[in-house]
Amino acid sequence: MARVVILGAGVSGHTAASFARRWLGKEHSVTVVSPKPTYNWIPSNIWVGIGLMPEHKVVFELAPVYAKAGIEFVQAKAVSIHPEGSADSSSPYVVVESTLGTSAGTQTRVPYDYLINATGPKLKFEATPGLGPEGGNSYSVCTESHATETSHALDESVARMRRGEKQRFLVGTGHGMCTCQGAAFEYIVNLEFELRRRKVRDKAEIVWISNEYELGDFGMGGMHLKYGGYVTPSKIFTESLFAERGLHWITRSHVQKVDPGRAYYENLEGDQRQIDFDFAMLLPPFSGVGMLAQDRQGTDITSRLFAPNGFMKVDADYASKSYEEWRARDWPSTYQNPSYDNVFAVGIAFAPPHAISRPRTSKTGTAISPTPPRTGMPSAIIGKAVARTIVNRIQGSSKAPQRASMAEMGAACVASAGANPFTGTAASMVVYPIVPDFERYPDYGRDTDLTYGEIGLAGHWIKIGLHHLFLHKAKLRPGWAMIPE
Amino acid sequence: MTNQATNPAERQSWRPSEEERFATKPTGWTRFIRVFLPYQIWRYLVINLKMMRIIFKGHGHS
Ligand SMILES: Cc1cc2nc3c(=O)[nH]c(=O)nc-3n(C[C@H](O)[C@H](O)[C@H](O)COP(=O)(O)OP(=O)(O)OC[C@H]3O[C@@H](n4cnc5c(N)ncnc54)[C@H](O)[C@@H]3O)c2cc1C
Repeated sequence: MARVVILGAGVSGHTAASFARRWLGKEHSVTVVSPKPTYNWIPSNIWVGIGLMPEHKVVFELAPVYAKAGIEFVQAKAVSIHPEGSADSSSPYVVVESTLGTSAGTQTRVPYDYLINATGPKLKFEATPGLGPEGGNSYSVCTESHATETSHALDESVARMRRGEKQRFLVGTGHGMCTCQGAAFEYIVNLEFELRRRKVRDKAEIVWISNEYELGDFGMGGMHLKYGGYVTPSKIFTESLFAERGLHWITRSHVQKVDPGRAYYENLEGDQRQIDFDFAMLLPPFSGVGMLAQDRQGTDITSRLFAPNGFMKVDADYASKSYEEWRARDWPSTYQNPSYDNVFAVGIAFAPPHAISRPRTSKTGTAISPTPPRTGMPSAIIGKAVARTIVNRIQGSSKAPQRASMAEMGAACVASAGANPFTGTAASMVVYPIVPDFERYPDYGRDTDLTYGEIGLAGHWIKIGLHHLFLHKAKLRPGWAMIPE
Repeated sequence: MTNQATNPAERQSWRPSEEERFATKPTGWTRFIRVFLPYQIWRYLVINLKMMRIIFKGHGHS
């Protein structure tokens, strides 16, 4: 009997657990450890944050779904990994701390034969003083409860505008090393659409602030699209959408501090600036969740398993290199930890070898450039590939790991730009590969026949379809395994 | 929690960058076609096909 333990029940962990359970015989166990009792379809948090969707439509209870599927669910957060076991047993285990009712805070050991770390990001609001909804001065849509709080604040601002007040909205990234610009982009364009719907657009000034060198970078170094007889950078399309919607933008900036109603930022020129706001939705930078690791003797080996940013080391090339030396093959493909081949990291939890966008620092030495995104589609594909690797090893069918490099896979992404079945729009984007490969595609790093984007109502229909389809899949309802990642 | 500026009258002025004036803007036709139902039904099929192509190209392999 083999024990497969998955830490985290987000897109990547939930996918890995569901497929591992489907492919493995009942004599083997699949256990998911996650601190929250619910699954959150994070992409739809945008609509919660705009007030168009109630929180309960983007979450569901995991326990009944797992009970039905035969997956053991431990509601706890993983604290430390012991890949060599302890002095009294060589069986590897994870120490977890319960988050469930009266047992909350109790630590127990969860033994494993194969471990998948799918713990996603720690939302590092503390990196910028005053950032974030928990004791800070800005809002977020990273979790369903943050998004609900944001929608209430938006209602307040709308009420003020209805009373004739002007409001300034500041939306974007709350630190120079943020990723996930795509989520902030969706929020700002949906916000603008919604303010028009609520008939207060004329009272609103909406400003974007981000660490991107150019609009449309999205942490992917931007992309080039064939359109109207030209190969055009995403900067042009994004600026065009912003200009059309009357959105202002500040790029190349690191938010240093957020006071009530005022954000301080530095730009690449080293200028210190500030902007006042009435409502700010600023995403935090991400790090790993901060698990520790110990060897058999109890010696700390955290740095053997994890990179300094807390993400888990996998089969990437972590040698420090200049941007010109970056290669697509630096990116991992098996997601196996180099020290322990039964430990894997998937989704946001794996340590990328470097960024995708060119790194830049300001004249005063502050890093201001996006860190690499790992969006839903690659996270799920990687989770499934790692589940297959483990199942093959357990069943003895193959020792060779499955490969799923972000430099060899594409991603489809639909960014909502306004939610209405007749007047809404969304930007539908396809990139191939996600990580540019300048050896294969010397001009743009990507295949311009496959990389593609357009904005229109059809994209909104697809986005709505994806919301229902992916929740259907995550709830493991009939036919779930047929739905692509 | 509130992030309302203490007093809007005290709010410092902020000016958008001049560069914004140089952005490409869609024509009325482009904006119309983006929400024109028959055309969008066609685009729905095309985009789905383009996405399926990438989905089948991009899955893990051993
Ligand atoms: C607002 C927003 C909108 C987005 N929109 C899109 C989109 O439209 N399309 C797209 O492709 N991507 C989108 N993304 C990105 C997408 O959400 C992520 O790529 C995806 O969630 C990553 O999956 P993951 O499994 O790595 O992490 P997560 O989904 O964050 O899951 C991490 C899991 O680990 C658990 N966990 C945390 N700490 C521990 C611990 N110590 N022990 C055990 N478990 C732990 C968490 O509770 C959670 O269950 C969006 C992101 C945001 C924030």
